[in-house]
Amino acid sequence: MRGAATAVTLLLAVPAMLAAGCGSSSSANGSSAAQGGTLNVFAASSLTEAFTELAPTFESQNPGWKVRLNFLGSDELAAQIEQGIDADVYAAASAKYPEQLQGEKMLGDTTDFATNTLVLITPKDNPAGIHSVQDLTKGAKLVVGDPAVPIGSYTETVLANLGIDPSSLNIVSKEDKVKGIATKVSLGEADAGFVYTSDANALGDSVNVIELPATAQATAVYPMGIVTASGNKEAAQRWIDLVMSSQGQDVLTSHGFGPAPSG
Amino acid sequence: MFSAGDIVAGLDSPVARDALRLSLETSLTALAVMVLVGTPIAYMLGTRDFPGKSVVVTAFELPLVLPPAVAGLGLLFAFGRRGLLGGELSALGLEIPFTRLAVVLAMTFVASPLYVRQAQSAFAAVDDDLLAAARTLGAGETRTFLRVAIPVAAQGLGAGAALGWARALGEFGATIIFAGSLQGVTQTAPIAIYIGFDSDPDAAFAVAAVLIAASALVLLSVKLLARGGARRFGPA
Amino acid sequence: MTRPLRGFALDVDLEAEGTVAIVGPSGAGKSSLLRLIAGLLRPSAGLVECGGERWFGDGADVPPERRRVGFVFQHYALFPHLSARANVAFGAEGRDVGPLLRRLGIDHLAAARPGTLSGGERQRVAVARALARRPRLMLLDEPLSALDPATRGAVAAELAGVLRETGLPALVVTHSFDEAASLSERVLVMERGQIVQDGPAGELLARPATAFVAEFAGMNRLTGVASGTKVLLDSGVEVRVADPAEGPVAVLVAPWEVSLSPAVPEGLSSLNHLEVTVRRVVPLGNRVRVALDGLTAEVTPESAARLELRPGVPVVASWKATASRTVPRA
Repeated sequence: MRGAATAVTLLLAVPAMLAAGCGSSSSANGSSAAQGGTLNVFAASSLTEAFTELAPTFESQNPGWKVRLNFLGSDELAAQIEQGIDADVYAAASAKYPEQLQGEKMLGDTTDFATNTLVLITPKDNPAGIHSVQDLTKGAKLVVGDPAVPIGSYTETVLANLGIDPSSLNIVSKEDKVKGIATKVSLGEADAGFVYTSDANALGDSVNVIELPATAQATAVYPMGIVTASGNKEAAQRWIDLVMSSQGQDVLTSHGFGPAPSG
Repeated sequence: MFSAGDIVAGLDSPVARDALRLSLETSLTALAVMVLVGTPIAYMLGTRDFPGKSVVVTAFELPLVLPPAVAGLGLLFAFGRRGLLGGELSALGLEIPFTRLAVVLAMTFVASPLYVRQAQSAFAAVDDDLLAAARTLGAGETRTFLRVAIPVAAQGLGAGAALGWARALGEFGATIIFAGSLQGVTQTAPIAIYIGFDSDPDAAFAVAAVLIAASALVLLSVKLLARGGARRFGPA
Repeated sequence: MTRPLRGFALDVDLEAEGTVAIVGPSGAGKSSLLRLIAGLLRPSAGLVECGGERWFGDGADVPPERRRVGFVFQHYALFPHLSARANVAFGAEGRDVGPLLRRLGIDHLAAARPGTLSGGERQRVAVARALARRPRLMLLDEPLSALDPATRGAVAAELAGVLRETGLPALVVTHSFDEAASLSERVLVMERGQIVQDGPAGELLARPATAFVAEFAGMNRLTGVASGTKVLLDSGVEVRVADPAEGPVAVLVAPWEVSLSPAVPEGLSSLNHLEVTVRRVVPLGNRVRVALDGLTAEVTPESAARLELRPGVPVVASWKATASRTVPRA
């Protein structure tokens, strides 16, 4: 990815397109006061339920602070940070984009705070009769993530591990964020989709979950770091501490995440 | 900065070319639909009063105030496999989401109100006496509409069509929810830019540049048409 | 037929052959009448028939495109995107309109767009367009009012000729008595949705049915208080009348009964005199209308020239007592 200047030019060139229907973008200013302000947390969309649950805890532990959550695909969040949109914490679903930002000196050191695995889901009534990944080769409507998004590249890994050629599958859409996949399957528009265990957890009864063989799994490791341009580094660190604490880890586990990798 | 050479290079990628071709074809289809269906409706709204008119107008303008994502969900609820019309459509062998038809539908849904609104005021601005004169000269409702109302309102209709087309071309939020994103099938230019922004910026920028040039060309031709129209009719 | 209008209902019962001029104050319903006949407005009740064909009434409601009327609109309503010839041909059902263009003297304008034509030319295109329809009835809504006064006279004469030639019944709405008189032998006066007088122009002048008709026809109407054959006008001057009366009256004097002279004529004391100033001089073909303070006179062009009549010139207006009529005022 080229420098910030070029990225800004690109963004100026496509105002209307992106304005139509983008996810929420955060542009609040963090307060420079030590006591109180707004903490902007940019998190991969798979973290929606878990982080939303943690935010009030942070706010009660840190009076005067409000948490502003921005959930999008990890790649979209990275792009926003590159454009200089106000962010304090960046939590991604894979190491790719944090490493990219670190290379651009826009992100500090990262901490791996959770893991996630993939599952295959179908609508509750399973219209296409899918019981294994192999069944997908019979032509059911499958929704996956775009390779540019972590869930998409993890899915490619899983399929490769299982020796399944993606072109033998009836992929009808490559979504820009994992929640898009979840919505389409739970609404019954797609016959199946690859999402994170945490997403399946959030969808509950509205979907069937098909576990993947352990040998084929791609384990997603979630790193989190403080944005270099942040004016709230202390508060940001306290957020990271909360996530790494047993309280934070319990919340993540309850939503289907695996624990932070040790070591 | 990007140069013209970069743009050409960017256009070399199949992702870019597929996206542009798809956007062009679907947006023009959507334009045809909204003009064919919307023009008679705009004529009715612009030239007569009837009970319940404000309800009809509101229904038409609704997509204008809906966030595109909500519009996309609305389309799913109506036309999705499990949607209101899903059963009937499936029986006909028609499953709309994830298809090119879904793209056209999403574009038509969000862009029609722009066209209908413009067309409505263009028709309302046509002197009533012109329509009355046509009737006294033996033209029924249809002939009056086709031979008098449309030519006289042509400039406003053209401007409305340009607006509608531009909106269809830039449509993103409803499309990605209702139609999804798949190269060559449903990945329109705006979606390609959004997804490719990070992984293939050359292609993304090239696509964006083409879209901007196309929109500018449309605006320019509307302006030129306006001046030509004035010359055509002579001083009032 | 009847139809509710602003503040009153249009209630008209009318038969026409030949040209009929319809006059009346604005808002009287004249244009509405034409549009009701053409089918552009719908009556709430009543009957419209043309040549034995029922257009409205008793369940019938023929749409305008099937009633063969030739409608000429006040501002002509020419289609701006079509040439003059194409305009004329619009209702001609494929017939060649060349002869019609020639007859109205506009065939040299056939390819021109309405936007480039003068008012008089546009009027002729509008008339040709209506005639090309081979209508059974012509309806003209103030066909001359959009023209400037200088052109109006000539065009009025032309139009009257064309209408006479076609032999079609024609209803012409106009707000000018002189135009009405020059276009037709029969003048219909409408007030507040009703017909108040219907007859030759001369009769309107001689025996106006209402105050509006009197004023409209150009009768001078001087208000005052009568006692016997003397009337004290509101302006303070005393005049003699032929019909004795008492109380508030209006003295009606026809414009051509008023003669003008530079000074009071000697020895003719039976004449009423008013010293007035000329306000406007309007030539109307072979006579000249002279608007004075409070009354109008009509003289020959020769007299007007001899008297050097111009706005601001003082003159004496005179008329015989027997030339006036006295009508009571409410």
